[in-house]
Amino acid sequence: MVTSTTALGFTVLTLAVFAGAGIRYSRGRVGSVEEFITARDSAGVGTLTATLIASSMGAWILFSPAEAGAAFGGISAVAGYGAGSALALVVFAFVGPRIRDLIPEGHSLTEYALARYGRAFYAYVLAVSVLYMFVFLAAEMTGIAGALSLVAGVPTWQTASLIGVFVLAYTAYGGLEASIFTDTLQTLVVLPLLAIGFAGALLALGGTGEIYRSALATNPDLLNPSFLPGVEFGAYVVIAIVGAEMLNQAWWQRVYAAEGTRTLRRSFLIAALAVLPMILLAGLFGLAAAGLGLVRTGANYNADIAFFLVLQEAFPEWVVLAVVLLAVLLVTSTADTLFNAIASVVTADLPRVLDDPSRGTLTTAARALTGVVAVGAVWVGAQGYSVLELFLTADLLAAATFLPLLAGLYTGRLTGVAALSASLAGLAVGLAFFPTLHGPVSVLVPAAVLPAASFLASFLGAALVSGGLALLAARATTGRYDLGRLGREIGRFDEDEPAADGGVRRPLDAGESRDTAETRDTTNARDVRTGRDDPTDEAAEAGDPNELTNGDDGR
Amino acid sequence: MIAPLAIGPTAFAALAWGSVALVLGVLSYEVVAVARESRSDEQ
Repeated sequence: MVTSTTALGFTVLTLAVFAGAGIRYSRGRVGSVEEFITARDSAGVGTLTATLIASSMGAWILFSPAEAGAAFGGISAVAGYGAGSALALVVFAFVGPRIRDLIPEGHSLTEYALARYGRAFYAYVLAVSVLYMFVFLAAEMTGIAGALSLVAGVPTWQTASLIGVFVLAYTAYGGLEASIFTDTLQTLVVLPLLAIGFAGALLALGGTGEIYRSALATNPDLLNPSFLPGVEFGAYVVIAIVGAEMLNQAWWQRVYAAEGTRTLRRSFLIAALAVLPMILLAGLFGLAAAGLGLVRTGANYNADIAFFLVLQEAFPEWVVLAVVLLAVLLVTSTADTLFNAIASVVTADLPRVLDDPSRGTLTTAARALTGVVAVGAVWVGAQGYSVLELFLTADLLAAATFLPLLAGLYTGRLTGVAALSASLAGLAVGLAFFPTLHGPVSVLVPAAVLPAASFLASFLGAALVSGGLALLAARATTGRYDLGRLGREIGRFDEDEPAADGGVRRPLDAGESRDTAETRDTTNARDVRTGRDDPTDEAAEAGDPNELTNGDDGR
Repeated sequence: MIAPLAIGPTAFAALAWGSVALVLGVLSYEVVAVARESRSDEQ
C-alpha cells in the first residue's frame, strides 16, 4: 500500500502547483467586487467551454456514474446520469441568453429572484441554492477524502483540510478570474489524462469484449437498456440534475462571464458534448466492477467506490495514486467554482442589506465569505457522512423550484406569491413520495394516506406540479410585471467605473449587449437607471393597469 | 449468448470507444481554441 506520507506529499505538491498558478494568473486582475464575482464579458469560447467542462466534472464523476451503473440499474442508469448532466448545460445554452438580455448587468440568480418575485421567493431560492451548492461541495470533499483514505490510509480530515486551505488561498485572492483560469488548466491537462486513463483501464481489463462478457455473465440486466429500475433511475436523475443545476450559481456566473451571447450558447453546447461521453465512460466502470464481482451490497456496501475497485484490480498502486491525484485536481476546480459561487450569491445581496457599502467592503466581504464556505466544507468533508440522502433532498427542493423560477424570465404574469405557492405545492407532492423522508413525513401524515414511496414519482411530481401550477397561475393572473424592470433595477456595483477611454462606463439596458450599447451611446447618453426616456417606464409612470408594482405580489 | 434485451458486444464497444474518441475530440478542439484566445490576448 502507498504510504500515507507519500500520498500526502504528492497531494501537497499537486495542490501547491495549482494554487500557485491561480494566484500568479489573477495578480493585478481583481480590482473590484465585480471582477471578483462576475468576470463579466471576459471569456471567449475556448476559455468558457473549459471552465464549464471543469466545473461540471468534479471528483463525483469517479464515484456517482460508476455507482449508478453497478448498483442502480446498469447501462440505462448511467445513460440517465449522462443525459441529465448534459441536458442541464443545453438548457443554459438557451436560458442563458435570455438571462443576459433581460438582466445585462446582473450577478446572481437570487438577485433575479428578489427583483422578479420579491422577498419570500427570494429567501426560498437562496436557501435551496446555497443548500444544493454546499451539499455538492461537501460531497466532493467527502469523496476525495474517502478515495485517499482507501488508497493510502490518509485520515479524511487531513485531505479535506489540505484541499480547503490551498483552494481558499487562490480563490479568496483571485475570485472568479482565478477559478476560471484553473478550470482551463484542468480541462486542458487533467481531463485528457483522465480520458486516456479510462482508455488504458478498458484495455487493462481485457478490452471491452471481456468487460461485456463478465457483466453479461454476472447480471444481464446491467446491459439491458430497458431494465425498469435502471430506466426509472435514469428518468428521475435527469429531473434531479437539471432542476438542481438551474439553481447552481456557478452557471449563472458563467452566463455573465461569456464574451457575448453567441459565445455563451456555443460554449454550453460544446461542454454538454464533452460531459455526456465522459460520464458514460466513467459509468461503464460500474458495470465492469459488478461484472468482476467486486461490488457488495448491504452492510459492506461499496458500489460508491466501484471505479476505484476496478482501478485497484487493473493497475499497480502507483497508477491508482496518480488517478487519485487527478481526482484531487477535479475536486480543486469544482471546489473553487463553488466557493466563489456561494460567496457571490451572498455578496450580490449585501448592497441591499448593508447601508451603502463601499466597494472595498464588498470585496472584503466576498473574500471573508469564501473563507467561511471553505471552513464549513472542510468540516463536513472530514466527517465522512453519507451525502447521498442530503444530495437527493437538495435535488428535490430544486426540482420543485426551478420551473417557477425560470418561468419568470418568460412571462410577466407570474407573481411572487404564485411562484412560491407552486413551488411549495410541488415540494409537498414530492415529499409525499420521497422514500428517504417517508418515515419523518408519516409523523405528520398517517402512513396509510401516503402514496407508495418512489423517487421517480417524487421528482416527477415535484417538477410537474410546481411547473403546472405556475403555468395555471400565470394564465389566471390579469396583471403583468414589466420584465424590462429587471434590467433597470439590477445594476453593476462599479457602475461609475472609469472606462478605458477616460469616460464613465454606464450600465446596460435590458436586451442590450455591451457592443450595441457602445454604438448607441454615441446617439443617446441618457442614464438608464432613471429610465426617464424609456417608453415602457413612461407607461408605468402613467399608471399602466397591467403593471405589477412592489407590493402587488406580496413583496 | 446475448440476453434478449441486452445490447450487443459491438454496441458496447462502440459506446466505450466512441465515448473516448468524443471526449478526446472535444478536448483537442479546446486546446486549439484556448491557444488561439491566448495568442489574441497577447497581441
